[in-house]
Amino acid sequence: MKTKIEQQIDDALTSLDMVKRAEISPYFKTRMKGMLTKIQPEPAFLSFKFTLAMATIAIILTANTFLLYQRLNQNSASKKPIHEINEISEMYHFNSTPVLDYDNQ
Amino acid sequence: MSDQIHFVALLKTGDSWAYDKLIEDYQHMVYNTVLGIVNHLQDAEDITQNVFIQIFKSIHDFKGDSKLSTWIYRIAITKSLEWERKKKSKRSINYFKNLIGISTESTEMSAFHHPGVELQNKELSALLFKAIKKLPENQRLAFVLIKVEGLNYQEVGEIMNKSTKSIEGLVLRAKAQLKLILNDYFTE
Repeated sequence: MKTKIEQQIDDALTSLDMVKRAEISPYFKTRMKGMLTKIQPEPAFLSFKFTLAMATIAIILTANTFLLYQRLNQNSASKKPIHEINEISEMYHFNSTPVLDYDNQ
Repeated sequence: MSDQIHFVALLKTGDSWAYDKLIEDYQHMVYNTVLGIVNHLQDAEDITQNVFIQIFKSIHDFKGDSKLSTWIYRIAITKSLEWERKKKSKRSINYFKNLIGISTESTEMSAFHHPGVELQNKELSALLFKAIKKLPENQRLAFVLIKVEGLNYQEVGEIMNKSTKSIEGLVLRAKAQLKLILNDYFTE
């Protein structure tokens, strides 16, 4: 035997069982048609605009990294090797003992 | 299915006869789905309008993997939920405005009387809609699509990208939850 509240709950839960479809305004279709003639569908390629933007950024970043890497390589290649610098410094006595080094005299 | 391919191809070309038919065939379906979610007659009509504009704008994205109606249901649900979120944040702002006394706009939701419900069930169904609003989103969508829109579990599963079993589970949990909420209403 159901209590009064249980019966009310069951009645509420079944209150939508026989629900009919709600009718939209009869002018909706006319209004909608008027609206759709004013707007244009998005071209298919625009739906890829986010992907396109991301791909462009990725290409630019890759190109930048590549150019930077090349520039760094060029700079290091143009630098004279250490042993050449040592030879020059020896030739001009840059690394010889200072004349006024009293402690070692 | 080949009819659908042909019809969608016509929509993609912007054919006005195809759009007339689309609105004619789907306006009630979209309106009733939206109404079941947002519970407001005028807002439901505005959202239905937005749904058709969205269909028109993004028909090129429709790949034909699902039925056209499934795709339209998804747009209708997304638009309805977006509207609800906006309305919710607007209500919160009004609530704070009321607190500090710079607005007197009501933040309470008025009872919703679905125009398709028989007169003797009006009050009970209004209570049921109020209770449905308190359900978690997935349970609410599954319950509304089955009870108000009259879809079966498989169709709802396709729309919500879930298995029939999980839709059955969602509806069972929704009913159990609704019983608890309604129990509170009737004992108040």
